[in-house]
Amino acid sequence: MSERGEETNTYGSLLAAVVDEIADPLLVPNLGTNTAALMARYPTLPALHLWGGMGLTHSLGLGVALARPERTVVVLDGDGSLLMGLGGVATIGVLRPPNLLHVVLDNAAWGNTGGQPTHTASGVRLEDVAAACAYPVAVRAGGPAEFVEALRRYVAEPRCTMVVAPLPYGDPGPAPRGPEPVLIKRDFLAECLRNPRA
Amino acid sequence: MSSDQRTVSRLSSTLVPELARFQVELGAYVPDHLISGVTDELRDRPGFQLVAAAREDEGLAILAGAYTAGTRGVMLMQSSGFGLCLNAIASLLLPYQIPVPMIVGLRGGIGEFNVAQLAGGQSVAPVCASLGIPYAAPASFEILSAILPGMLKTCFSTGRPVCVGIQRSLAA
Repeated sequence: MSERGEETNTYGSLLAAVVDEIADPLLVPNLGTNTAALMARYPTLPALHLWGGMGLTHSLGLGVALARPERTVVVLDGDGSLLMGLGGVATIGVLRPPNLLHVVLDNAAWGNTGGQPTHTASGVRLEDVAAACAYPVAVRAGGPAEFVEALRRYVAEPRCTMVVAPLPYGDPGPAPRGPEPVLIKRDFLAECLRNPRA
Repeated sequence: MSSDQRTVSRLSSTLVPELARFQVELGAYVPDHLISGVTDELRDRPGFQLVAAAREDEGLAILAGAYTAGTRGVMLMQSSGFGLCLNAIASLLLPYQIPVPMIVGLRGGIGEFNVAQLAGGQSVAPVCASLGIPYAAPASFEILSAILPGMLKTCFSTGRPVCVGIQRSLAA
């Protein structure tokens, strides 16, 4: 249960909320758990599925957002990856693209190496980092209803936003076998070029 | 130096038009005094966006994201920062075949005073070689002009990063 007594976030609840609430998103999921969860549930959504680049997911998302200002870019980050790239949070805070929605699935664990605790397990609050780095909106969503609420606030007034969603660590199981990185890139680029800039 | 006092450096006048010819519209950088003339010009260039990154690997990731969304970019950094880029190159740019030209101000060469710059600067060429990344550190503007079109062509045609080292003699 969350701090407000709601149900707990799950990969299923968080991804379903993004799909339901954000129209026509470009998705940038962190390697490992997030890419695996997204591929298993929504294999056909336009996404730059990552198999590498740990610590850089949000910076990749920033690059996509700068290149495609007319599309909403949803970064599905992980706490471990983001902790590796806190400087990149500051760069996003400088540029603040309104089409960038930075979701952090915070399981407080290094998910790919056996669930060892990350710094967020000891009280580090990534939404506070984002707020200190001048993100216009940086909130914590303890449960599914709060998460949907945060997404709706973003849709109502798109401003560069971080939403940290704590969820329990669980072994996600083996990742589905997806296409090779070069094919992921090809399909993502084709999707981006499908809607040329106005 | 204010912009009205600034003169376009020879390094900048060699690099910038060639980048434009290859439709490079985005740059990321971490400051380096050897190539500051280039970043100064790119910052003010119409139709070009220059992003200040906090770290060099982050800059490569921003450019990688932009490339996968249809915009070509260039990375500008110092050799010490190139040392931070191994993961971004090896686990992102190479497997996804993302082309990014890297312009690297070379410390650690002849005349270097700082021992902390020596090994890093000297490692750029062998690191590029070990990753299969085309690399050149031209000794003159004439050679730079001669190789640059080919480096950029190889970069964007083959979907690989390339690296151009800028020696102190070509500094901004």
